[in-house]
Amino acid sequence: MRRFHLIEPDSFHAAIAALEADPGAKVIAGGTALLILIKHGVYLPETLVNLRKIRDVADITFDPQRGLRIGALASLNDVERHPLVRERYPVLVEACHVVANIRIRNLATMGGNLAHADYQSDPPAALVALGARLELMSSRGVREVALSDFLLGAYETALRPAELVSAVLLPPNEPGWRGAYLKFTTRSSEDRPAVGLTALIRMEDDRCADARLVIGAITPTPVRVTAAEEVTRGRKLDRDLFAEVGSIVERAIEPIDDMRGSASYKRRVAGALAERALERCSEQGGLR
Amino acid sequence: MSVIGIDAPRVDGPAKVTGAAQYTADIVLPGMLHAKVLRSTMPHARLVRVDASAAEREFGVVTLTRDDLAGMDPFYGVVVKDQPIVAIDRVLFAGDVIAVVAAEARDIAEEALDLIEVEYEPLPAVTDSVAAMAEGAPVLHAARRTPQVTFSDMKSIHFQTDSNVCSTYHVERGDIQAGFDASDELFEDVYSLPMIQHGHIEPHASIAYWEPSGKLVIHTATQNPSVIRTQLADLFNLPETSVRVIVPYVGGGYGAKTYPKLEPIVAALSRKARRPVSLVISREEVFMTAVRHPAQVRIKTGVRRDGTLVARRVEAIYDTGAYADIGPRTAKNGGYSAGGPYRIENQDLTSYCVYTNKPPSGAFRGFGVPQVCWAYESQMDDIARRLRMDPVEIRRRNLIQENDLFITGDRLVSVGLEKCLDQVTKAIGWRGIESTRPIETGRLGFVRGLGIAVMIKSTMTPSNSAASVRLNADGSATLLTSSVEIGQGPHTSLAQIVAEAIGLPLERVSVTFPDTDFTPYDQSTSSSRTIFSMGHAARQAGIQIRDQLLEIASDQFEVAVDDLEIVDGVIRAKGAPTQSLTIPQAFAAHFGAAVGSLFGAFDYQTTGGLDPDTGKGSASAFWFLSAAGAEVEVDTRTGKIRVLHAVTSVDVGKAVNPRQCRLQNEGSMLTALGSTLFEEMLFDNGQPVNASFLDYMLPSMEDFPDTFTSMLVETPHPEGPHGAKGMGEAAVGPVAPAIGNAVANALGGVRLRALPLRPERVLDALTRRGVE
Repeated sequence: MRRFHLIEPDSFHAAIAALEADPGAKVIAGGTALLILIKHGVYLPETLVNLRKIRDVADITFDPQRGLRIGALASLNDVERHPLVRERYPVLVEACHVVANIRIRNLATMGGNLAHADYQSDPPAALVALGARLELMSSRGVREVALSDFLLGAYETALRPAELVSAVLLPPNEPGWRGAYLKFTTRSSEDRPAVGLTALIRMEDDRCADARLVIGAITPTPVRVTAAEEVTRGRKLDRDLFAEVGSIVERAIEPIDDMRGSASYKRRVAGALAERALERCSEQGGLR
Repeated sequence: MSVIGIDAPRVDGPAKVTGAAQYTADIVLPGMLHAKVLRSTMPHARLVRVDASAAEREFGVVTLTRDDLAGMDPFYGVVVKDQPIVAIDRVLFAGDVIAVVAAEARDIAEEALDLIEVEYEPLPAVTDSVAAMAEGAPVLHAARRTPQVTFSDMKSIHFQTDSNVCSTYHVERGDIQAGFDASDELFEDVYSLPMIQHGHIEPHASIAYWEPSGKLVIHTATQNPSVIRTQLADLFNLPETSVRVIVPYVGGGYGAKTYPKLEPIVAALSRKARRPVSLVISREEVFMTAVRHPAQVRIKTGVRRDGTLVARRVEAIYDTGAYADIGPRTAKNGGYSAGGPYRIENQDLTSYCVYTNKPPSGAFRGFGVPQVCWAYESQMDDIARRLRMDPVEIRRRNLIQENDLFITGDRLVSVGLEKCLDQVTKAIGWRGIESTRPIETGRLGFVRGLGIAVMIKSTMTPSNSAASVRLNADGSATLLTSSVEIGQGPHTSLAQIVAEAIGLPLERVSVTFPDTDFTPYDQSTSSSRTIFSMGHAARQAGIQIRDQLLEIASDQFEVAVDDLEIVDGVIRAKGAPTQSLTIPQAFAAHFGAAVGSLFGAFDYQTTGGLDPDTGKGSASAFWFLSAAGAEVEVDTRTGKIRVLHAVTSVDVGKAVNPRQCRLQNEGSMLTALGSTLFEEMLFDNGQPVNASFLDYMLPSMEDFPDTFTSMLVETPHPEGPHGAKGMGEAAVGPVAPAIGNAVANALGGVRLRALPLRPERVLDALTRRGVE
């Protein structure tokens, strides 16, 4: 691996100052993505600004009005294991749990996962479905951006120069929501997803009142299938509905061809996963 | 108490579990430089210019280019001398070695690589073996020379020099056309397997230096130190005594560490640098260093309505990549095994070893057999299905038996295959023809199926292994051997054999690491030959020591040698345990004091070889026989396969250490599992696209079957120590077709003939069937 300068600030402010001082510097936290790129010579930064020495930026807190706040430096494993997340956002637990393996999840950070914007990743689809917003920090102050607006393309985000993701914010979820995240791999189970699908539904009595269906890993950014969401409104959760949603999904998406599968294959898989995710949602409430 | 057949604990276990075990990359020598390799970015090109002067000037590093090899013949190879230390006039694959840099630190070497100027003149590349065989294809090696030092089993291989076909092998019996004519049904199919990589944890690593006397010393992660010594001696024109090869623990080989890999590079570079040079390659470079032969296998079989196999013709094309390495032997062994472990009167078997502009294919656990086994065992189930027969029954009807003549002319002994098949069918719950139907799961979109397969494989023959045993006055003994501990456990199992031969407690015997200055010749730690060949030599060497001790005691007790025994390190008269002599006492009696040492040495040579004209003779000192079974679940909406239960049974002759044998089977199953389901090296116009662990996946824990069942059959082999045969590779071959057959049975006969069984392929096959 090539040499680089390593700066280890003890606060976000110091990190931002370091980035402003050296526009070529790159932020590193868990390093699970960046080090691979450096090792392969794809990316050769002169300077890395390591955020891991910064204290108290990995906290996970919940406020009934404002919702969940995940400090950007929380590892995926911290998120997955946190009692508040397990209780209130089980879909996020599912999406974090299937990332690579435990060694990666212990290192990879929530903020880094989103800032890296690798489209073949599990958490973004779940977080978009949950309505996540990001807190971004720079010397100009703090701003908030919806995750769906933050992710601009594969490895492209709305982050400005010398700006950091400081937290991930999830709105407090209303009662009645249930959901499922399904990861589908075509090779090893530790592989990145060929398709990752989040379904969230909110039931009122035995009818579906609201739904979110977001598919990750098939396009440069997670894709929300609103046509499929709309068809569920007011409907009972049954096989007819699952099949209808599945076929809407198949028609609605335009996946990327890659070594994990062709576009047409991913379309068929996404349809099947949509059906299965809804079926999982229906089982959670004991409804048939 | 006998120490043969016991689950003796691994002597290397604690060192490996605690991380204390030393591998080649752990070795640091005074003044050592670190090397990095500049590799070709083109699959085929003429090298117009290679200029490393700027790198040397700017960074003060030592470089190795073709200019440094002017005074020597830079080509090496155990079968065909076709591979240069660094590229001379052309590069033959994307990843080929162009230049090497040695620097004080690895990152300096890496940066210096950027300053080496290379000018290519692109040449047309052939990346497909069938295209490479076609008329008019660019010929990769126009001039080829066979080496001075060759293996005698190469006689039956026909080498060509006018095309990309490096070599062919052919053997036949009966009358193939008459056989097809006499058949009721004919089956003709083409099966294919992609290039895969071994996935050994330790990357290739070698360190070399030259002593002032002109002696070359090399520490290296190799499976065959003796061959490395021969090859380096030949390359650098040295007597073998001037080449010292030392091998510490090796972190997995699976064939990838057989024959020269990095050794010629570090030897040449350290000679120029006049300092030790260490080269430890990256994972990505491992994919450019050794791979398994992709293959295409055309198989035509004629059967009678009662299920008797009458005739089989096989043409197997092995893609050996840019250099021959051991490809000609791989193709030969696959060739004569292509008929399978069956009595078939009429056979016509041909294999080709073909050059392409891809990384060199070499030895890989299974050695040419998994390629043909995938074809013949998949087709066997199609035959059974069309004849409405039980796949187990049709195999039983045709299986080879004890004392049968194999197609090569070998008389088969120690044939426990039917027992292996029995064990496997029982373990997966096979219930006759009923088991060829899909098993309902009760879950929409998921079906299950069972499948079985069998295999036959040979071992490297003729071959040579020598062992030397030294007994010390305190009753401890050392086995000096060049067998390599590559994780398969010879430090334990060979110690068991020596302890048993002398009559010592197991913990009193230790086994050395290879060091060619001290340990005798051994052809290779591969071909699953160590227990059979080195075990035989070690046992005989141990027996020589036992005989010397008995002679000493015989003089002391005035009792005939035949009436004496050695138990737990004590020599005593049988039936009169009062008369006993410890080993220090025996030494004192013999040497006048408890000093000195007793020696035993044995050189075991297996004999054989095949006739160049007929391809017949004696192909193998013993034959591996194995069976596998699988239960799979197929997701019919996505095509994804999950192996629920994997079963193998191997005839090991005699299990010296049964637990290690069972673990070897589990390892074989995992090797086969990944390559059956998803492992595959992909290329785009000759450029590797997934040559890293990021993009080339090995099975993870989550992909393992819920249950492994690993079973052994013991049909003693007359020449093996205690009847033992080799077994390390035996379970690899039949796993892929067992899974493929289970998938076919789950899906009502849908047959996939190309590996890996990627979900998309399965779903497409299901969709096609639905359309038909």
